[in-house]
Amino acid sequence: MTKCDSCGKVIRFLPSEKDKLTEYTTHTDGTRDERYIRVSICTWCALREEGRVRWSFQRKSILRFRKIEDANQKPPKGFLIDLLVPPDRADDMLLELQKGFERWVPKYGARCARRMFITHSIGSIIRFWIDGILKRLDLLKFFASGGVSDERDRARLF
Amino acid sequence: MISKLEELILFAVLRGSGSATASDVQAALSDATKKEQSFGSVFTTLDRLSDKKFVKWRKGEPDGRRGGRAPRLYEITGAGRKALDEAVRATHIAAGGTKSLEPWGAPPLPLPIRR
Repeated sequence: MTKCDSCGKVIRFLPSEKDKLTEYTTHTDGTRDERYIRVSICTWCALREEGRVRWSFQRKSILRFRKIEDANQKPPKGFLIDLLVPPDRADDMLLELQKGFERWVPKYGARCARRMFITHSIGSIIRFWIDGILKRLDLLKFFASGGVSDERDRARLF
Repeated sequence: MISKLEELILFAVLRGSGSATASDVQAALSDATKKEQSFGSVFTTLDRLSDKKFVKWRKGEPDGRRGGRAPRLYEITGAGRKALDEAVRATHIAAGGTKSLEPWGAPPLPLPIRR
């Protein structure tokens, strides 16, 4: 009788030689190591670790785990920011996003961090330009109101 | 009066003690709100605060690579500190407190009364 290492429940299917877990470690140069581990946790405990380890079922009793080596992940180039934001702002923006990426990799995993980097960079570009438009609109409103910035000034003057 | 996001960002810049980067501010906000704050809102809010002269920035040291990028280091100004004080005091009063709150430690000494 085999018990789960994590929750202590009895594993329903008996792990045979075929019931093993394959862990892949992908290196930055494209090579990949495979390591077989005997299944000693139940399916539900394995699935609970989904956030850390990506999984997919290969057969009914065999779980295939895929783990990407996170430590050597390079941050994305961020060419969209270089392309669409003025250079003096793009420098800082890109650097900060890359710092954020380095912080996200151990927290969310490389793939999710990469996705977040892209989402945040697109959001930053859109917000940068929308903010610029809003500033110009504020300026227009300022001139339209005869050089009075807010209601309090207007009340004081008139 | 400043918004809540501006208030939180000013607090994060204040905690950075003169060399807070946008990444530090975003991390502090994410910790405070328990939710990953978007970098876009942090950048635009810092720009707006800089326009209002509540924070000022200077270029930091560029990273070691060739053509390395230099981060912006933000620092709170006197006007920013005052705006933050006002915002904290307003929140405190709205929550039912008294006017004598000093968020930066001990309450100030009472001014001498001239007769």
